[in-house]
Amino acid sequence: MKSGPDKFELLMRYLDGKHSGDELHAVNALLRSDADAREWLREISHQAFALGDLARGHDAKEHQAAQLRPTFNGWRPLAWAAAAVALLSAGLFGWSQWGARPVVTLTEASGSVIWSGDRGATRTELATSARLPAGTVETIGAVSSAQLRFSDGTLLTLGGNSELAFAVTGQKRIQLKSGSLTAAVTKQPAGHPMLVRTPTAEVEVLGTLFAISTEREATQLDVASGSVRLRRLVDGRAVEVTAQHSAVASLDAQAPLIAGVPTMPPTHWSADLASPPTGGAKGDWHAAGGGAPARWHGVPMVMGRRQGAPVIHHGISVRDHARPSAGAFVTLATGSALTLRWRTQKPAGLLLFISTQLPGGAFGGNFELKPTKTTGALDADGWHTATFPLRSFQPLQSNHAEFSGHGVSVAIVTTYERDAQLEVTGMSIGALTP
Amino acid sequence: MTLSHDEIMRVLFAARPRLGAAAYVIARDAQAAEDIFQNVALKALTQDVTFAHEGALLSWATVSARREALDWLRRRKPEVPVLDNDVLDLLEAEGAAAPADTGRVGALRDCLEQVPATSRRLLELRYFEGRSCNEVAAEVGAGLDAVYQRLSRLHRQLRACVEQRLGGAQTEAT
Repeated sequence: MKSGPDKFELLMRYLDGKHSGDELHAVNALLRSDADAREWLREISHQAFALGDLARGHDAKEHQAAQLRPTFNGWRPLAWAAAAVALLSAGLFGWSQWGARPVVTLTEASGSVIWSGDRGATRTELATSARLPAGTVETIGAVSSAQLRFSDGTLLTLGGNSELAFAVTGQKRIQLKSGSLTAAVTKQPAGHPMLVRTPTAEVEVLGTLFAISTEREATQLDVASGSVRLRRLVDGRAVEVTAQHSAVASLDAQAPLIAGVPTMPPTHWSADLASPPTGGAKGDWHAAGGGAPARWHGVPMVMGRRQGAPVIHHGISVRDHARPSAGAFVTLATGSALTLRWRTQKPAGLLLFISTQLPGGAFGGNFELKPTKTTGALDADGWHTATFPLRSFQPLQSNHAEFSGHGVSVAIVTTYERDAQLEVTGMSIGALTP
Repeated sequence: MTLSHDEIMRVLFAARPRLGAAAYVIARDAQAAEDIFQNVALKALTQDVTFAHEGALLSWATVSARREALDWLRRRKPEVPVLDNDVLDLLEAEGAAAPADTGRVGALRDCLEQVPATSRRLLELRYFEGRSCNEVAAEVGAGLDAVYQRLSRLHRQLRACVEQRLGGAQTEAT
């Protein structure tokens, strides 16, 4: 290696982006004529790229890729691509190897919230106000949620079964691996937008309120205020999504990429329990027969984690079937109520849970109710029918106590003490009738 | 006969250090280089494009990585100019002809263990946190020229260490 310090400083200035026009001319001339200088530039670039890999633990990921490759055979192309991208990006945010300083504070947590960092570090019993270094936060179970605050006041809220990796590397970098995220982003420095990446899309944010939810093959973005640029990874096309608009980026490059005004869900909704669950809903469907109506039987559901062990309830969950990611299916009003028709084989406490969104898609809070065991009219076949005003539900997040005007994205009914063989044959949400 | 998805992934992973470094030369941001490589890999798998052989894939990936990096620079740092196309051609051609980087990241990791903490902090600020050399200088309380010189010296030391380790490994293998 024969490059003198002057040459090297010139190359360093180029890589620093601080060169003048004359210096760029000199760098071009140097690189055209000097093979050593070209070799140096490649060497520094290799090292810079590899140093990033080390910070992310990426050499291990390459090894994993080699091991996983055979399992891709036979996958549908889009699913294959999604898995490949997830694998490629899996090491993106494990910056804790050299930088274990906390970058976020956990300001709200309910249900099961887990943080994991590089080199296998894991924290499962997270308390509010815990300060966390770069890593991955996971909320497990439909009723779990977590709110993270960066030092500049930017708030991220995760809900349901979601997994999010975060780091600050000159700018905020978020990777939503699965689930739903609401972000209230304070004004970011010019040239250093917050980046949010999912398996299918990337957004750059300078300051706004938005919600983003992702599944393996599609990402939905809902912007409440400000505007967000959504880029579809599969073809690099982008769309500007402004306030009160939404857009979907999928792995299908032929699909239109447009921002539209989402329609407000109706104020009355009835679950279709005469058909099997679809779109992320859970329950064991039984057709009508033998004098019994069509119904969903409760299935085991992870509702949280206590002292390291999962908290299992048995119940059903319903959510919107039509949208590629979690969306609201009914709009709540002050007088809204949930009406339920159910029965159990054994006496058991009932838990009703709803997760809500603000207009525009941002997280609006979770609410739950544990009715008394004698609730509801009982018919000859053992079916209870009862109506529960939403105002009797307890908010689970202190900063989300109001539900009027919110949309419901998930509704869950479980028995929480034991598996009491819960069956549900009717569920609706609408105005409370006098 | 076209490359399967398995073969595409194998070839792209093998060429990843070279493609990532080529993207870094343009974008001058280690995270952006990683993102660019991912985008190229995604497009290779999902767009309506087929590759008759490894060479065709690598040519396409090289062109795509350059285009993605230039797009990234235009979007993110429009005020920062980039090298002339003929210089980029030279760099990419010589990079493609260079031997593969098998084991290089592992060797670099071992070498970093020997770097003093203050020097590692310099690398961390520059390459992990994406700070400019001016910002690094302010952070560590040094002049800009001193930062250039220290980074220069560190890159030389790391290269010498990596080559020594790779040479040693080859000797042991034989």
